[in-house]
Amino acid sequence: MNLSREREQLRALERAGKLEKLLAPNDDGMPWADLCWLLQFPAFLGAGIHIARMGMAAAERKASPPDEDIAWLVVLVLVAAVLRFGYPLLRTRAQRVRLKVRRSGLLLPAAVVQCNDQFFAEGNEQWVPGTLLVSFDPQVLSEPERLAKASERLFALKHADRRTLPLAHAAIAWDLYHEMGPTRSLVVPPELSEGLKDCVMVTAMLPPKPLASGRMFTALAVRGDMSPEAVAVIPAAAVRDGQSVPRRGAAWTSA
Amino acid sequence: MKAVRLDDDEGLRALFAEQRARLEVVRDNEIWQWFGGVPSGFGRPAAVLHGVYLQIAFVCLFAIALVVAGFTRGPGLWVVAGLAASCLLVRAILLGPPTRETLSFYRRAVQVPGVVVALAPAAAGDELRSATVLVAFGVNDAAALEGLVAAGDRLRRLVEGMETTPAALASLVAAILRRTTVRDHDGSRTAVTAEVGPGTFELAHLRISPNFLPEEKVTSRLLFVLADPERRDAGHARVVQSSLWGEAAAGLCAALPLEVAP
Repeated sequence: MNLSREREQLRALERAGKLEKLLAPNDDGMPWADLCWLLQFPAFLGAGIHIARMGMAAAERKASPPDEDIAWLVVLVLVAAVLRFGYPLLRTRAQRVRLKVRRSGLLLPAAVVQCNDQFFAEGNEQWVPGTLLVSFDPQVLSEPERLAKASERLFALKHADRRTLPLAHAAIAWDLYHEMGPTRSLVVPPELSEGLKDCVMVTAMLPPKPLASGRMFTALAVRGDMSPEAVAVIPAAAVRDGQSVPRRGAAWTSA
Repeated sequence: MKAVRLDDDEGLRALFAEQRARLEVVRDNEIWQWFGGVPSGFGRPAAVLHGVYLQIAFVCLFAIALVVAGFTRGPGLWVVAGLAASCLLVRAILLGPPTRETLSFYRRAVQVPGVVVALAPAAAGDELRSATVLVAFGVNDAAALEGLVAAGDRLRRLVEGMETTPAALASLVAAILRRTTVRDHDGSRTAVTAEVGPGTFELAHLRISPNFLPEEKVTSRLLFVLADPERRDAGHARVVQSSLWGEAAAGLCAALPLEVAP
């Protein structure tokens, strides 16, 4: 499994500012960071107008502009610079994580543990919530079927008696059972991960047609960040010749 | 846990424990949309929309101020800048207090069982149903739940006039009927006298969203309410959506159907 070509395409999309629109919709509303970025344009326009007026007045008087006009110009340029370079400070934590995912996330195979039934509905065009298993172990690229097996083991815990399970297993079982999300990701203990290292169970939104390779979806993920925003499932439309998943009845199971 | 009976002590304890755990999932992950979002239930419902308008107005006015600043430093600039700032201020006043109140309610509230005592007839053009519900704090076993159901059923019979109202309960029944007639259900709670039940019983006056119920309409006498144990005033009790009731609650509700008068 080699995802470097796809990662390169996603990088190109991000550079063109198109990747965010292709990923799961968010409920940011009107983000202050974006509004602040927009306001730099009237700020620079205002500064430009002031420079033009100052220059014309100075030419008329054949004297250098008065100090207060220069001071006002400094203020206007300062405001424009703050808006231009300070807008990232207004990003929320979720926005910062999503940006990190797009820019430096690793492209990994992701196995479905469970997902909303709507995903399998004929003609579904909705993003639906799901629980996925991802591994940051490089081994997963050569043996992705181990990830699929591990996801089945996790799903088997869903209706197990949690009182009889070890604490880490019970936490996974409870997360699958309550089906509420988005919740923080859970580290999967090695005995459940088919020998793969660095496995985490994450909640994520699934696109109607995810980019798939065999039984696996493809996701961008940031290592070490357990917030639900740290994983983004890639839709097939995001890459050239992207294949989507076979529907229900294929080799993999759902909740 | 898929099913539990009304007399299943152990099953009910497990169900109530599951409900508490579900609330903790929402709180730990701050996924407030499962409680109805933030802000919700305090202040005017249109405040969120007005907040968006004020945000747009701020951006437009600030953009105008930045351009005007290129032409003048006179009063025109400061009027526009002042208007922009006042948009932010009004937005903060409009959204800040209800947001804080909603969050503190969500952090303190507990899930309690309730029995429908009076259900106002559906109003044309209003999806929400108004109901008075007898709720009880600290219910954790079969005996306590059966006690609540019995007390709620008795009160409902009195409200419906199927039994003669004792003098001690006459004013309470009259108050419930009055609220039901005028649909005065604002998410507040009132204490009940010892004739109704123990001190942990209270009457909650709720507006019920059908989307929050397992069958998307009021079919059961039993429902579960998010209630703030520290405050009884408006907005501090509301029906919690059924996905937080626990899987076994559906069977429990089905065992306690509500026969609604046509």
